[in-house]
Amino acid sequence: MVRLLIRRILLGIVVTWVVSMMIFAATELLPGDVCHAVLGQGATEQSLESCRERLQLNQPMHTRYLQWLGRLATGELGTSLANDLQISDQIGARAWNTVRLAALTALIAVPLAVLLGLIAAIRADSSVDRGISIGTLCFISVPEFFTGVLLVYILAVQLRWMPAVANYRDLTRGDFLEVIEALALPIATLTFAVLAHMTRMTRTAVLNVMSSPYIEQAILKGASRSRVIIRHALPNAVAPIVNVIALNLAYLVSGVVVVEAIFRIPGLGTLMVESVIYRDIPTVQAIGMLFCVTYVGFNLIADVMAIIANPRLRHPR
Amino acid sequence: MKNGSIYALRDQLAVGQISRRQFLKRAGALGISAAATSTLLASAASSAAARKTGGTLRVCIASGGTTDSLDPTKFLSTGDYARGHSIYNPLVALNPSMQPIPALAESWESNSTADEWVFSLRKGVTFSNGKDFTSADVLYSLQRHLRPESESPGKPLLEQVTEMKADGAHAVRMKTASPNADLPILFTQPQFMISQEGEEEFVNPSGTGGFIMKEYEVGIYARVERNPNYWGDCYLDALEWITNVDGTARMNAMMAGEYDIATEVDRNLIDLVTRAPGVEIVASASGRHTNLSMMCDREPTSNHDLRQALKYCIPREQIIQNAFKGYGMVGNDHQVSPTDPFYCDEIAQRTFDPDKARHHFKKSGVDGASITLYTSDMAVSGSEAIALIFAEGAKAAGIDLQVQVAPPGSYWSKVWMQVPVCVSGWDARPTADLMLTIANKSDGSWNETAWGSEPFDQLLVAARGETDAAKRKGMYCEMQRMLHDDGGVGMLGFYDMIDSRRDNVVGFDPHPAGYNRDAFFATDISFA
Repeated sequence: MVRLLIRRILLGIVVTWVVSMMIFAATELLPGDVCHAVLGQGATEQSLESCRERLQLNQPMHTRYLQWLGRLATGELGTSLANDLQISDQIGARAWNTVRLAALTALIAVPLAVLLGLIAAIRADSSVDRGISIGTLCFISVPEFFTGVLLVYILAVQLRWMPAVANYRDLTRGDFLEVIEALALPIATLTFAVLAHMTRMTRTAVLNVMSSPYIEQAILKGASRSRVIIRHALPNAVAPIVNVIALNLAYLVSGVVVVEAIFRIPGLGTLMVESVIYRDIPTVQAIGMLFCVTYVGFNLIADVMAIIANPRLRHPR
Repeated sequence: MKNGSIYALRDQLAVGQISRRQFLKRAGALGISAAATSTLLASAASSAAARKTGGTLRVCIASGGTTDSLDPTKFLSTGDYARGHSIYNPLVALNPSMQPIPALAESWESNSTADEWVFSLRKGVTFSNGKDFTSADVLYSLQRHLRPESESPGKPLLEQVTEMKADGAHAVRMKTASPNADLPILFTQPQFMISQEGEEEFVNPSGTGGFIMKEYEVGIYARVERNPNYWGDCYLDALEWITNVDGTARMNAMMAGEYDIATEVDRNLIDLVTRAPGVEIVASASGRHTNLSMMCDREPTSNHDLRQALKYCIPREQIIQNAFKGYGMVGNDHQVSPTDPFYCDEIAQRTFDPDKARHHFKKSGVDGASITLYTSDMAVSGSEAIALIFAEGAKAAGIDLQVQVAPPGSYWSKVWMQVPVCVSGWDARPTADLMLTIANKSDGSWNETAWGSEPFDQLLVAARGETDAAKRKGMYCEMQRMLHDDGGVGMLGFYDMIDSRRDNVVGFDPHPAGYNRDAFFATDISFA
């Protein structure tokens, strides 16, 4: 098992390295150059030249990749092309907003999804199951920018129960309740977006296991359906469920761009979008790497959990 | 009839942004009856509302991001300008009729050839850290733009000043390379706000403005509080600047009461916003415009008659009504805005006239199917629709031209100033001189129509140095007539800058300076 784990971790590192090359290449291919984007239509040849020189855009690409990788490895992300501030400081300030939003959403969405999935499995093919299925399918079919705007329109504009945008002071300095108030609608929007996937996976995984012979044995023993599912089926269905949860958690960190924009939450997503607009390549690359590491990390955790949860992998013959 | 736009028009009249005559003309264009118009005129006269001192006002800024700065030489976004105007002052400000008025410079005068100037500075002004404001601060702030490593958008504008020196603590003398009667207006540009001598970091800068920066999070949020030693009037205790670049989210939050002022209302949302209780539209007529750019140096638009024909094909009123929802003004085939003091009223307005268009088109001998009109919403939001309205107008005159929507990313580099006919767009410039120089002078940086005329160029330079106002107006009129008669610009329309305010906000009024706004707008705002 240890060898299996080490192999997974090494694979993760290789994947991260390959992605780093892709991120570097992709951002190099963006049309236009950063000086044009920053200086706008009022740019003159002279100001463009002095800007390019300052940013060393005149050096060849492979030299810059190696330099960049070297700095990345030592954790030094450099300064932003847009405003000369330290990228690590900027990301640090923004990451907290994104991570907090993702964590609070996960705290609500994951248990809710597993619960709904189990209920659907226990009452498979009943009207409750159909209701959950239809509901989650509806939510997964509607994009976040629609759910988000709809929630804002009803709860903020019409009923005035909730703020329409996350108030910056509440978000950064507010007490717990103010933070919750500022984040309530974003959390709700994101919960709707990730709930369906996890709910349906839980239901399917559990029902899959339900057709195994040992479950039949348990049923014949006279155990109730809910006991069979929770005590006997669920432990063996954990692997696929954990996998889909990990994927959704990674999505929560990297995929919140739209929700952050709608509710004006200063997180990593908005920073990434702004950086792309201003062709602030170092920041785009840094955030891209951060998202990559998040994905690889969550997947690694999911793999490890699946290995630990699976007795056949835990005790290989 | 669009109710919103007529009330906005009344606001513009009330603050003197448009003349009575322009008001009547535009009201007529909107289909408002004479009786209704006179009622509105009366209500415009009685609008000085009661003001309250104190309170914190929240302003949502529509543009800005990680490039935002507190260093005036790095000001690029409207958020920079707005925040800047609250903590700094420029030397000169523009009033709603686009005339220069004193700010940190109390007065100014030039010699008779307008190439030597002296600006007298306001006395008794202090920076927020207590230091006195003197000519040294002015020289320092302006010279920062001219440093070799400077990337300031103000640098090319300021390079015409060849000499700049202090004349005592409260006067600055300048010499310009060539005569320029508009020099004071140059100093209304947001990049030329005055910071303190020696300031380099701009982390916690001192200014002479009505407010002091207290909290600043780049591209997200700023909070300024009243400067107790401010030299002018200031009503509010504090202002919050919140950046929200998403048009729908911004208006949702405005309607939900999260902001007191939100800038830049998407035209598609105007009706929704005017229906929301407690929210009002503030429309500023401005020099921002969209135009047909017909290049005079290549086939087929090098043909004078073809250009005339296409100009007669523009359904001007219809474009204002449909594409700009009534918030705009027709133009007269040159780029001087009706809000500019040098706008020429004497040239007859060219109107949509299929018969005249047909006549000129026939004379040109050009095949209509060979003309392709390129367009993109990159030029001005709504340009694709405008091109279609125009094409319908051309069809009525028997010109069957093709409309091609070009990819936005490369519109300015691959289409504009490359193809014979395209839809172009321009931001407002502070003076007629700057607009005409940049877009129409034969060697102008963006002479998009490649129209060139020796007499025009000479007149432009002469008018720039003319200090006699009446004579000068005549010269600008002549230039507008040249462009109107022969130039490559077909004016599709000037469009308003549209912002929103809550109905308890006073002092946030229309101003034609475009994104630069009124230099005193932060200190002018209050609650009713």
